[in-house]
Amino acid sequence: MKRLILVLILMFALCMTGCWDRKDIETRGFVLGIAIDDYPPIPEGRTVSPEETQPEEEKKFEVMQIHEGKPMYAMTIQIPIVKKSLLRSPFGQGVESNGSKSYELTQIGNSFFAMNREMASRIELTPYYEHLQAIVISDTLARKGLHEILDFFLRDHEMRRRTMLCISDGEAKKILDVVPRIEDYSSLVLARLPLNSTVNSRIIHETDLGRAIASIHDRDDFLLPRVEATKDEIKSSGAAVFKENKMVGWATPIEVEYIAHIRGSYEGGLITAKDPNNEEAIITLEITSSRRKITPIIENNKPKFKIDLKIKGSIAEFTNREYHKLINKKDINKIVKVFENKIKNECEATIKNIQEKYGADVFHFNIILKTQMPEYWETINEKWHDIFKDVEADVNVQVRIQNVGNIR
Amino acid sequence: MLRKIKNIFRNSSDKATEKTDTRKKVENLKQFKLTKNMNDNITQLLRFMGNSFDIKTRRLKIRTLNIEAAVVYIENLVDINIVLEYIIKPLTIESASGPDKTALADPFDIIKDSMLSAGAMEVAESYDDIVFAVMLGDTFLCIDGYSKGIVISTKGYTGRSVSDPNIEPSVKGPKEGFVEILGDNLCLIRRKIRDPNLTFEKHIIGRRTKGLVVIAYIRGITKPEFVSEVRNRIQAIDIDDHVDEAKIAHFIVEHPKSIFPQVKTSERPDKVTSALLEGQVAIIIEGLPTVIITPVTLPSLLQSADDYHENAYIASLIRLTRYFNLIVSALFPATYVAITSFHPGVLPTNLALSIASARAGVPFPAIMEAIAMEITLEILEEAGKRLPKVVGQTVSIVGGLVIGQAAIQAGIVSPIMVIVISFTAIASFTIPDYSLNLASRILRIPFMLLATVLGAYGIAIGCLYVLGYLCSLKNMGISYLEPITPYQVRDWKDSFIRTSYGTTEMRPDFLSPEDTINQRMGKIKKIKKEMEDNGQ
Repeated sequence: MKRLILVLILMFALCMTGCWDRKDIETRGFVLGIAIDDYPPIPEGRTVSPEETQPEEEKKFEVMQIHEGKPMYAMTIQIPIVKKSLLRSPFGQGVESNGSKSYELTQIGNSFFAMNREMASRIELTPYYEHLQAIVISDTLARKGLHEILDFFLRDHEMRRRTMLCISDGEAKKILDVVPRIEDYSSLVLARLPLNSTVNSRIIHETDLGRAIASIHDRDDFLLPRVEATKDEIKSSGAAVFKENKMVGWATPIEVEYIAHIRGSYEGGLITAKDPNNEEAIITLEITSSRRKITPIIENNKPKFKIDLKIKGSIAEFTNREYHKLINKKDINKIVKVFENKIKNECEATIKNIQEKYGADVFHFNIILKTQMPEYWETINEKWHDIFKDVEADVNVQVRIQNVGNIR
Repeated sequence: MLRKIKNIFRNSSDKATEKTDTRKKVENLKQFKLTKNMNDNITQLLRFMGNSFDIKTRRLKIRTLNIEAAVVYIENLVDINIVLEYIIKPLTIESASGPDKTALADPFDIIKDSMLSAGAMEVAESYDDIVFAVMLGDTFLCIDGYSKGIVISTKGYTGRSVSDPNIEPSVKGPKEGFVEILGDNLCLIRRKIRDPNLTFEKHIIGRRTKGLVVIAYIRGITKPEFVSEVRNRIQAIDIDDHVDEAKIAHFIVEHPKSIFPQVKTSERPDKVTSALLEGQVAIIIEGLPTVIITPVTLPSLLQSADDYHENAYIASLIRLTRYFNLIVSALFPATYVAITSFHPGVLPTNLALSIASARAGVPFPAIMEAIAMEITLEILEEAGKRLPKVVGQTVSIVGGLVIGQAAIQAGIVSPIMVIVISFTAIASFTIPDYSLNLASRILRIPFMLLATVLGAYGIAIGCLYVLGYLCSLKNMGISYLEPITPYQVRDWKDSFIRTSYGTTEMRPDFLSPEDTINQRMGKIKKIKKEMEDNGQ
């Protein structure tokens, strides 16, 4: 009897926990990317020419019945068509299928969860989000606020915080519609582009869902990558500047480079300058390491920042140079000076520009203050954005050239 | 009607008593003693042995003693040369001439002590000794006028000669394996351990087969309780035949119904030797080329002879791989099923997509696919075992390559499932103990079912159950998972890994050997130190 009770208890324990959602892998629709646009796409009052609109027939299913309110968002998911991918034919007689290997499905509504479930009525695969790679948000929506949109993507258990987040200049769906040349799915391209930030500092990395939300809750300002697309290419160029929850504008690719220097998130890249001896020649410095140290100073109850940049690099290229002349130590010193000045000026200009245009502290000066002067920070916490606008920054740059790579 | 049924029962019970009567006759040979009349004795003996045609009787007359005698032996069991040269020849030809010795002493003693030139011999009086000895291949010499006879050891049947161990081959170790002849097997062990403390204890098992079973151990190393435990259990065995090591093992272990092997069977003398030296008991069975080693633990089943012929690092790596393989062999298909049907989120995206695309056309759920593949694998292996070696190749080609390839192309199974099952099969083949390999194979199916119903949670439950079960298995007071749990850190030197020989000065502690020290490093250390000092 005792044994029976024990067995029963164990059976109950067994039944009350665990995962019962058995579903074979091929019946799941792996959602690789999501694009979120606002709806209606065209501001009220503006009329659209008949050529611009898509045929009604194709858009027939996009509209759904809504319980409450009116449709605000258009959500597009990208589901791979696995039957078209390579492993189908293990013996090399693969059908080289042209065109898209994925299916982009749009639904219009105001609750993402409802839209997601509505899609299940249009596709035989169950949408499954654990492999979600990237979320693209159109800039018009981002300007209205980010957190409002992302709630579902944080609350749902299938979502992962390491999902890439990017902002499209224009319609977000266009980014997902791209059929890339190498990779099969545009979302995978989006997810992998940031990995190149070790060679190109214009690419923004550390921009996943989790970090963005953490920044919003900490009331930090941040950058998200701006993506553009043609028919078969996606480019990460520049960044969307966010002031707390709302997007305020764009930063140019070159600004992104200097922001990375100042923020200390520089992973590798390059800088070019003119040869001081020869106006025609262009020197390229490959930057292998950039270390920054920011010291906050308080003058007249106003914070001021002393930024020390230590940059190491090697000369990667010397275009248009007279080939028989070797670089000597004097030249190197001159070159170093040129680079130091250039970086200093550009950094200061970038800070100035961002301060004036957006007033968004994408350099994370507030984090420096918070960690190094917590008492002072408490006093200015509330009005930081006003203070930031006229914060002074003094940039000191020290460049060390490690390899010259003389060729003879 | 009822009466009829009753009658049937009565009849059958009558038959049963009849059966036991004949059986008793065989057992109760002890009651029958030799008489003084030789002819009676011989006829009685032949009658007991069913007058089989291969039992030969040779009557002879010993001239010098003026006495009649007869030699009884089974033709094919004896070494006929011994019978002719050392028994019949001295009794007939050599005694034909010469003085009458009758007066010197009792003729029986003269024959026994000074006429027979064969080796071991014994005086026998009761029929059970004689019948058993003749059945073993000894020769019975019956002398007229005495109610006793002489049993002369003339065993000489032929068998396989010592050859490579087939089931447990090794790369570097000795290339000899046990054979079916008990004497040869004992000799293989004796040749390796020249310690007078090495003890062989003879027991006879089998009502009808009367097989010899030898308990081997080293006095002064093996814990006496193990020996007495094994002895008691072996003496208690009462079965008709002894010809299976599994049968003997069944009676020795404490949990005979367990799927996990609780004795080690080996056909390698070096393995048995090292087991004896560690303080285990070996059981050698007549007619079998495998020797049973007990008590064993799971870690010791994962040791292979090759571990001890290699550098400690290499051996440890290989051994760790083996533990990994054991887990893979039991769990990999289950994990695959759980991941594909419950948790595709744990896979890298590209892998998830390629598995999905590989499975896209397959009509069965993952579990059906897995079980089908598993059955195919079992069929292939069984076919490979049963077929003659010459044809065996065909099975692997037709079965493995053709069917596998075709099944994938036809879309019945996915290529990934084929990879999973073949990897699992190969992993299971690396487990040195064949019974453990089979046990892991049996575990595979319940784990797969659990994975289908509950996913990774089911696998976790299964693992917990199996671990708990393994912890509860005990033999002769030794846990199955010792030295891992209950943990004895010192013995870990030879469990998951094998540390270098310099560090294992003590014998494994969990076997509680009487002599604990295994190596004495003092001299080597001294020499090393002297060399270093000289060098400086």
